[in-house]
Amino acid sequence: MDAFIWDERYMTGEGIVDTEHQELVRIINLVVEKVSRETPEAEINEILGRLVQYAVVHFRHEEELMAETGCDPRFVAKHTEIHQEFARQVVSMRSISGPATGMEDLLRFLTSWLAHHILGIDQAMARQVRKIRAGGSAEAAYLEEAKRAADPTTSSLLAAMSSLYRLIAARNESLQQLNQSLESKVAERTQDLVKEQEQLRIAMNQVAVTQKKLLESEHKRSEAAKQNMAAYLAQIIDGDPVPTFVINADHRITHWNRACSIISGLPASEMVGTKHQWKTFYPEARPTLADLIVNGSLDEQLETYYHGLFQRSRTIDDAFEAERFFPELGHGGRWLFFTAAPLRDRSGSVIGAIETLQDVTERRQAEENLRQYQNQLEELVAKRTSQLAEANVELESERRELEQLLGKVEEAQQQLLQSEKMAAIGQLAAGVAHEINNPVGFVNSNLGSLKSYVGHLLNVIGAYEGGDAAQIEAARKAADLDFLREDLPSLIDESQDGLSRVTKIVQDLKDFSRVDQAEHQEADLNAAMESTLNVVANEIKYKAEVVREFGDIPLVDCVPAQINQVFMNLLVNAAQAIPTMGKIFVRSGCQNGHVWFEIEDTGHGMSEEVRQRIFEPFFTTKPVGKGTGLGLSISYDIIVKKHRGRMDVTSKPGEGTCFRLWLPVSFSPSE
Amino acid sequence: MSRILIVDDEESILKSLKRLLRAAPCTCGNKTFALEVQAFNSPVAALEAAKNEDFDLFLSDYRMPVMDGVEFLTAAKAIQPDAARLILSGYADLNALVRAVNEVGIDRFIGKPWNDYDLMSAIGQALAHRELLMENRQLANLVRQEMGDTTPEALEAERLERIEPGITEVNWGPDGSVVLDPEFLARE
Repeated sequence: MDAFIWDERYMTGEGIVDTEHQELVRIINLVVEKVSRETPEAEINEILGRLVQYAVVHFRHEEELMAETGCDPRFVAKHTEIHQEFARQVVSMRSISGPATGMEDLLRFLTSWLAHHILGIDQAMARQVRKIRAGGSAEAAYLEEAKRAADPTTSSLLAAMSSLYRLIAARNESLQQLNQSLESKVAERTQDLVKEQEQLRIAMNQVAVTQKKLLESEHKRSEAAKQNMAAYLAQIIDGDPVPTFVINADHRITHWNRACSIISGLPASEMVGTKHQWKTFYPEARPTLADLIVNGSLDEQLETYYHGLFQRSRTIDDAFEAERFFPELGHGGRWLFFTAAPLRDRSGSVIGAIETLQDVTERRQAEENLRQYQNQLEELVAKRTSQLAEANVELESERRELEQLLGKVEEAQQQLLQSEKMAAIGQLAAGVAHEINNPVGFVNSNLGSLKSYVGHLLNVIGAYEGGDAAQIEAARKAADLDFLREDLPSLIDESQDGLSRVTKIVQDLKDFSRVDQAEHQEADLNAAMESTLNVVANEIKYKAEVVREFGDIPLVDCVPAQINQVFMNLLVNAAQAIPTMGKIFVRSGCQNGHVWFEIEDTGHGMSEEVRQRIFEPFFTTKPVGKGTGLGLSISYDIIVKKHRGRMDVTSKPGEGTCFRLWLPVSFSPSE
Repeated sequence: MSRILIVDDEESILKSLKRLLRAAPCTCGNKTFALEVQAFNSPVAALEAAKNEDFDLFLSDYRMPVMDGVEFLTAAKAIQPDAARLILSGYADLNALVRAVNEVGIDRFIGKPWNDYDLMSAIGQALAHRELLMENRQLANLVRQEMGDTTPEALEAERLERIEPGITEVNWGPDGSVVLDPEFLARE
């Protein structure tokens, strides 16, 4: 514990001066501490020496400061004089002081002297320095300071100081005289000394009184500042638009702002100083949140009065907030959101509480409306959900019906596909029958003729064998041998040709519908087109001349039987589109990894409306019973879906139609 | 000698028919017909011939380019109504048959491949039937003449009319002129 406590009042405002004052104080305290611990005298003396040295340095600094600033020379002289006096006194006191008691006197002297020196002359110096720096003249500053010295507290202090110095000086002198005189006068001198010490104590008391007065005047000043502060605070609270009241540790209202008066209908004049803060909210007396905070035992009581409605504030520690409905307030009650926070003094003990009340009725109503609206919506959603569920069930049953229908439709479609195939075969059979019947007809007839020829020839041979010239002549005539010789080779040639035609047609038919071509394989589609053309040639040769313009194409990975079916369909359609006699161009080529075939006719073409519908199943322009309306639909299915190709068509009414189909050379079913 | 016109777009058919008709006797009952055959592989050429020469019988294929058998026979009937008409075809649907019977009044429909004997019989019967009709007409005319129902002039006019239809009719114009060839005028 320091003997000399540094205080703000000692601050002069001059940085270096204050620092050195503090160092002096620290050294003094060190000395006091050492003395109290009965440290060896040598060490104490050493510290005291340091103190004196430091004081000398410090005094020089102060004197330099005054010289720099240009203080009044009178003041400088006086101040320097005081410093020198101090040094002298300390030196003399040290030289005569014995152990213990002398040391104590010395310390007391040092402490008091330093306190008064700082408060008095050093502060005066600092004030003058400030004034001079602010532009005042040194003399004016000195005079003003002199006037200040006339102040009773200051003058009494100074008087005490001077008396102190005088006493010390006198004592020092007498002590010296005493030392110089003989030891015999010690007792007498001691008595004198006792007296003098008594006087010294009185002087010290006077100093203490003066110090007290000084402190009181300081206290008055801070009291006035405090009152100003309180007024200022009251204004802030009063002007706050949020209803706010403050209570002190006795639960008495200290502040009740205007907004609070308006919301409660109770003016501040009635409320301040009372404990009626509850009146605003409750019909009978009970603690408010602020009261609970002042009481301290928060947790139990909050539970009693606020039933879990409160919570700790998220922004301020120790503060609590709650939201409640107050039916007594306003028209039909109000919702209030109130926050209460403790007020603490410096030591941290609660000296009151502040509570703010926010009217959140409108927000509450909005929330309530929102909640109602939400409930309505939820009901609506529930209703809709059940409706949707019903609809879902209906849809599900409809879907099942549709699936059944779809199954039936697929079945029907399979049957139709079969019938389309049969129709195509029937159509084909007609042409093929005609084409086979022709050669069979003439070969058969030729054989009949050959039979009679052979008969005649045998007769002629018989006649030659008989050797009768007349008979030979008759037989030759009957046989018309010249004609036979001419006709027989051609008869046989034609018959052979007819039979080879039949063979070829049968081969074409086999090629066209070979069972082993119903699998994916690498196929020469030009050859496939040729065999298809042969099969349908009989069907189209009466309608059109076929112009072949085949390009070089690679083998294509496909199902040849299906591609043949498409070729046949397109060729027969082309022939049927030609009214009397026209041309059918069959072209092929290869481009970008695709093989293309083009079948163009010079028929009657079709309109845009028809063109858009040709790939629809059951769409046909042929008379009832003539076409199934499935041919192109199946072709499209084969080319586009089964072979991942493409089918384009261009047509102009009156000019003809051109189908072009594209097939990828290598087929990858996964795409 | 009976003149027969054959039309088929298939040359081999024509040749085999010529061989058959040349050699085999064509008989019906106790009658035997000697045949003279003219063959055409195009209906158009055949019609041209029919305009210039008399034929006793037309034998036509049904399916041919440019015009089918029914169309050909219809045209031939307009030129020579008294000739017999036969169709020899490998295939014809019901519609074609109906047209052939109703529009052309064919004597026979013979399918390909044919039986030589059947074909010869059919030709013989058709020729005999035609001969009978002609004979009937001639006898009827004689009777009418004797009964006074008709005159040799009328018969001669009928004959001429058969050869050149419309020759016995006179077309008077509105101004009293004689219009010789209304068809030609109309064409103008």
